[in-house]
This record gives sequence, C-alpha cells and structure tokens, in this order.
Amino acid sequence: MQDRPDLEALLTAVARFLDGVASGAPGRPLDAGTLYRLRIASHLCALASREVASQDEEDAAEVEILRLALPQTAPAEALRAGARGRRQAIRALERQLCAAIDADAAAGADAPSLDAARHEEAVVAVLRRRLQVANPRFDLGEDWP
Amino acid sequence: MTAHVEGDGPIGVAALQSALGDAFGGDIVVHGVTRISGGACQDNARVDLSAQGGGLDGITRLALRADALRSLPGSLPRRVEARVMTAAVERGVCTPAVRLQLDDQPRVGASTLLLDWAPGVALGRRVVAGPELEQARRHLPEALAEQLARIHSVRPEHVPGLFDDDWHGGKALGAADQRAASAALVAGDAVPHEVEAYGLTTAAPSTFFDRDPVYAALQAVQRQLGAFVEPHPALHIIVAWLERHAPRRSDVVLVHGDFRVGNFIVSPERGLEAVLDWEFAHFGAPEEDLAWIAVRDWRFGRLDRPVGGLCERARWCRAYEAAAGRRLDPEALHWWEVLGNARWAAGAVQQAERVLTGREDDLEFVAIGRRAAEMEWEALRLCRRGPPPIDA
Repeated sequence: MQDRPDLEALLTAVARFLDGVASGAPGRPLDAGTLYRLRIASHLCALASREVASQDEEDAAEVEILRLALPQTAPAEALRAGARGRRQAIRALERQLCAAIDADAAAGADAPSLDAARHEEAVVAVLRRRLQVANPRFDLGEDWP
Repeated sequence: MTAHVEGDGPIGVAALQSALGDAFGGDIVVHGVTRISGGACQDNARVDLSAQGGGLDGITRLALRADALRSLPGSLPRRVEARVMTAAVERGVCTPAVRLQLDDQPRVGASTLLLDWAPGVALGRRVVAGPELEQARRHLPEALAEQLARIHSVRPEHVPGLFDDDWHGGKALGAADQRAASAALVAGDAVPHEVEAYGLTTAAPSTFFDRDPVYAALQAVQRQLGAFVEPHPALHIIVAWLERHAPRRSDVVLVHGDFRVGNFIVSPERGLEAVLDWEFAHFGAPEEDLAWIAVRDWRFGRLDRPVGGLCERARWCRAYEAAAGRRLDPEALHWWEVLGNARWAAGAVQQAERVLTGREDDLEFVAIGRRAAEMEWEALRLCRRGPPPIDA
C-alpha cells in the first residue's frame, strides 16, 4: 500500500547518513541528534531486512486482495517482471482502487454500498499486512478508546 | 522590544551579549549558547548568562528561538509567533514571555526570539510515564484544559491583524496575496501562481481558517492528498468519511495548532510550567486543539489513555467545559480526531518528500514517511468505530 520511500531510497538515505557520520572528526563525541539518527538508521535497516525477506509473499498477497476488490487485475506479465515490475503493477491497481473509492463517495449513498464495503475491507487488509512488516510493534487492536 | 544584531548571528556569544546589553542595560555576560532539540522550522538554544542591574537583573537563563532555513507549509515565522505568544501571555496563558525580538537574524528576513526559560521536562514519554512526574500528572489534564480555555478565549476581533504578517517560504505574504489565497481556497478555485509559490496549497493560511474552520481544514487535507506521488487509498476513504460527517461551522477562536504532549513543559515541583511551540497557531475551531492531543501518536505508548496518554476523554471534556463554559459535541470532537490523524498521515508523507525531492537531507524525515500507514490505520479505525460517548 505504501512503499515510498522504497527500499532503494531507504537504504540510500541510510548509507548517505552513515557516510556523513564516518567522515566526522575521529574521536569527536557524537551529539544527541546524531545518536538519535543512528537509532533511526538501525531501525530502517531492520525494516528493510524484513521487507526483503517477505517481499514476494507480500506482493502476491496484495495482488490477491486487490484482485478480489477490483473488476480488473494486474497484467500477468507485469507480475512476472521482478520486484520492480510487480510494485508498478500494484501501484496501478491501487490507483484503480482510489478511483473506485472516489466513485463510491460520489454515488452519495447514505448507507455504504457493497462495492464500498469491499473496497474498504481491501484497504484495511493491505494496511494490516504492510504494518505487520513495517512496524511489528504497532498495535493493530481495534478496541482502544 | 526589537533590536538588530551585527556579527556572527543569533547564537554567536559576542553578538548576543551586545544585543542583550543594548536592549536591557546593566552588566550582562553571556556564558554560553547551547543548541537544544527543536521543531522542523526553528533552531532552539539555551542561553546561559549572568546579569546585574538592568532589565534582566538576576536572570541566569533564556531560551533562544530562531527561524530555521527550512520551513513547513502553514508554519508561522518567529515574528508572528512572538505576537501570538504575547497575546496568549496577556490572557494568562503560561507560555514563556518574549523578552527580545532580533530582526534580520540569523538571516535577512528572519527573526530570533529571546524567551523566558521554562524549567522541566517536555519529552513525551517522560511526561506520560516518568516516575519523577507521577505527582505532577495527577492534575495535568485539568491544568491543560484550563490553559486551552484561556487560549480559546481569544477571538479574532480581540487581536485584529494578529496574523497579517503571514510568511511562507522565506517571503512575506502581502495582504492582497492573502486575500487572493483565501478567496481561491474558499471558492475551490485554482490557486493563483504567486500564491502557490508560497506553499499555501497544502496548508491554509491563518486568514483562511477563520472563514469556516471545518471546511478549511478539510480542504487542506484534500489538497495534500491531491499532491501525493503515490496512491493512498486509505486516505481517499478517510477524506470521503470526513466530507460526509463534517460538523456544522463552529466558533472561531485562537487555536494553538499543535497542542499535545511533547509541547508542554512539566516539572515535579509545579506540574505544568509552560505551553510551547506556537508555530502552527491560527484562528480556527476549538475542537481542533481538543482533539489533536488525542491523536494516537501523541499518547506515547499509553493507548488506553486517549488524551495524550494522560486520561480518558470524559475527564478531559469535563475539565474543558468547566473552564471554558463551552458545551462540547462528541461527534464534532470525533470528526476532528479523525482529521488530526489524517493530517498527520499526510504530513508524514510530505516530510519524506522533502528528502525524496532533494530539497533536504534528513534521515528522520525519510523514516517518518514510512509511518503514514500507522496514522491511516488509526483514522480508519476511528471512522469505522464512530464517536465514543462523551460521558463514558
């Protein structure tokens, strides 16, 4: 559902930051801001590791969720075109989903239609999966006040 | 009181000492200027000094707050923030008084403020759970509600022109441009190019919020969503929900704009010491502040205490109603809480874009961008659940 900044951008930013830290004066203590960003760098590396490990499975699951929610699905060749191609295909499906959601809203029904409910369930299902990878400590409970 | 500093900028010890001497007289020695963590739009520092005689007699510490090179859409320049803080102090709000405003520092067009120093803790997790603040937390919700009631007692007619000097992207926005921006945004028209250049398409200017705060806030999120590079289906659902459930036009009052744990100074001795960070102040709906403190990210791990990780909603609403004499509508509060989470989700996306488009280079912004899904989840959860009863 959301991978911008994508893995490449995440790791590039981490590398650029670490390079800056390593280029600092030897022996000079790190300030609080740099130490804080070192923790962020560590967190982003862990996130990237989880995403690499689960990417194929997550992409397949996301395509399946979107396929069930939309009348069209991604072209088969796009899904076979490697990770980058799959993500582009999923983006295209997500844009279709946004348009479908906007159409649900424009229909103006007081009670949600079956289509609207299906679209919302797809959004929730994909968000849940992505959050479990991006931040396993995030509490997905529904009952908090 | 304003002054002009020549030399090595607002955090240069010699220049600062000279400016303070010129402004306050007496014998002033600045011992050090130490940067402290700040927001996205300003540089903050602690100024340690000694002063004998003059206007700072006996003062040993001040806070320095300067316009940073970078800014966020909708954030006020320091010189306008100073006026807002002064208006708040006049209403009895416990926020640091502005001692001195240095114009054209640290750059031409920017400003630096010297403020009273407020001792205590601001870090969210410590305010919510630090054992040293256990006693202070007992009455914190009531103290915060009292402060909010004072802030919300300021109406546009009390302080005409408070935000007239709106300033975005490093340039002063003239009154004519502000009127054009407001008119275009209210009418839903295309925004004039010269206004777009100021970054007002992603956050309504202060003058705009006072027309219809509900509509203005909704439009601001819609415009953010329209500018995204990546599709965000969750935000499409949330915005549609906000459109369907928009409350009726509310009162228009001074709104702090970032009233949440993390922007309050709390001490073990005196509890609430100060309300900080007025950079997003504007005229708007009081419910905006009342709900923003309940946005999930500001609970600092205490999800069971929806109001800033401090207390339940009913206690918060009772305290505010008693202090402000204003009856609250639970459905309107719920709407503003959904909007707050959506706004923070959109803000997180924007933070990442600052790096991805090459404008800035900060790892923190990259990481924040990946957190948008958390706020989307929370806003969707609230939409699906509906408003909780206020007396629960």
